[in-house]
Amino acid sequence: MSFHDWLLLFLAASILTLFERVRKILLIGIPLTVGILAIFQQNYSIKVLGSFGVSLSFDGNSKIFLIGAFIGFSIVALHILKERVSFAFSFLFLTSFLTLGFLFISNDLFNIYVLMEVLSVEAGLLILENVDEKKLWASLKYLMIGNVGASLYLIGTLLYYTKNGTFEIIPNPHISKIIFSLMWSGILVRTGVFGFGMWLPQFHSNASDKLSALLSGVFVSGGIYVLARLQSLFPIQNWKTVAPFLALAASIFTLASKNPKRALAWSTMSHVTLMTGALTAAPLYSLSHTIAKTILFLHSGSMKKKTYNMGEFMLLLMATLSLIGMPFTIGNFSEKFLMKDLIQPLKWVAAFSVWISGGAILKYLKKPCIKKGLTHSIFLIPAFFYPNFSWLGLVGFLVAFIFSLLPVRKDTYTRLEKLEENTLLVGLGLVVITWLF
Amino acid sequence: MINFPLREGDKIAASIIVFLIGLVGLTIVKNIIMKIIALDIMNVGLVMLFVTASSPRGALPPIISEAAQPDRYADPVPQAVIITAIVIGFSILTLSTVLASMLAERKRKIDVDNMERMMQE
Repeated sequence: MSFHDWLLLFLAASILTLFERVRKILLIGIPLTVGILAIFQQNYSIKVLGSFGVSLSFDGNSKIFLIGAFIGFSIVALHILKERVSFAFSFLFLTSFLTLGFLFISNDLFNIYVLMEVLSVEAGLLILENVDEKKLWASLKYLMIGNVGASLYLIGTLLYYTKNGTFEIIPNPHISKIIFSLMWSGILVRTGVFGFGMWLPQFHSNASDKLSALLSGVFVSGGIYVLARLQSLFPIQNWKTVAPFLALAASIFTLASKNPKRALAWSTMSHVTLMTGALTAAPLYSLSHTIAKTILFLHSGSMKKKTYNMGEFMLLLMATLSLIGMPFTIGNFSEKFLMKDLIQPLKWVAAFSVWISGGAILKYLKKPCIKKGLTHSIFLIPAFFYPNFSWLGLVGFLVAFIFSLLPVRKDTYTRLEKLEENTLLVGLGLVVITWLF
Repeated sequence: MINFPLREGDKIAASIIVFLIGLVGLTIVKNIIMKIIALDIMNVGLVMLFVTASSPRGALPPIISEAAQPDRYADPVPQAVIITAIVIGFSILTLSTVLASMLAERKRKIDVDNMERMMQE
């Protein structure tokens, strides 16, 4: 996938989405095309403008992030298949996917800045569908705070250029503490890390379900990609010590939230913060997080009203257990990598933050689990005999289960119904992970 | 060429001060329209910083000629990239103004405390 391929996809998405008949095909087709191309693409590195350092690079990280974006956008596209899709939404949906995809192959600091800013404008416009005052304020706040983060990052980029004569991310560049501080804090603000980007819970929880799914599931991985790309430049040992504690703080906010959407947004913040502390394992964890969060946010409306059917319930349960790190889920697989990458004495802090932020969501699925759904636990039994079983997952499940017992709520859970198409995508995610690693 | 009375370090300091004025304004001002103006001031400081930092050796336009001395040229790369940043800053400013005007039309009050109270409801 060279620069010209992206340009072609941008043109196709921009022009063809004008025609209503092909709009839904594009919503699924373009992420699918990019996903398939990403799976079979060999690693490459291109310098677009020669010595100024504008360059593209496709490597293992790019592949995982692109597959994550493909899965996240496909889940949302499949979910809205029966709805009427406006031109504005489909245009922004496709361009934001391609912008994100292009970000995942960028290897220079200025390109990263431009793409992150374009992505934020697209997100700011996407939230305006069925606009109300809360969405307007959340969007405005996001744009303003995000712009501050981007400005700090840009000053850091300028200083990097004056020291190294290029914008490219090169091995062993001249980096001073001021460059590190400006760039690192700028991206932390932009990504929505606890203590830096406090716009995240309001912005993600006030958007419509489908947009929240995109923002919390896929868009946040853009920031994680940038941090993972830049980690070789910076001395981040101290940050690795701080991140698990910040993640734990965010997870306590998850527990205190009164509605599922807000809890999910805080949970996203907790997971994103944790990922910044273990950037080598972050791409894989980001992929599992994308799948789980996209599904949970898409069904957050029915979680709030307790109108989920059996199919939805199982789907939400799987996604939540994956977040907690239950064995036999993608989350467990990626969590083990994450824990290895963390500073070892702080592993427990990180594990608690994951359990609390996941368990707080499990409580919104409580009633069917206790009253009618005790039999559902039969589905979980094979997990305990899975050869890749870890004690971490078991403890995680127990802690989460205790959290789920806390308050009692009414629900309109009715009877066993067919599983939704999204369940298949969870399976697809599992297959992709197994195939890749 | 116009001889600017400030030295290189002063110009950079002036850019940083303008940037900080914008940043402080964005943080402490309660009125949303004033916040957007502060955002613009911050972006102006950023552009000034880029332009200043690109000409540490001289401010001649970077057009190659045999007579000119190469070490007196301004570096064209930061100036070229800042054009993109100006466009992005302008688009964010425009979008923010639209959102603020929509909010003002609906709520009739545009201070931050009011908005945050609304979010808690």
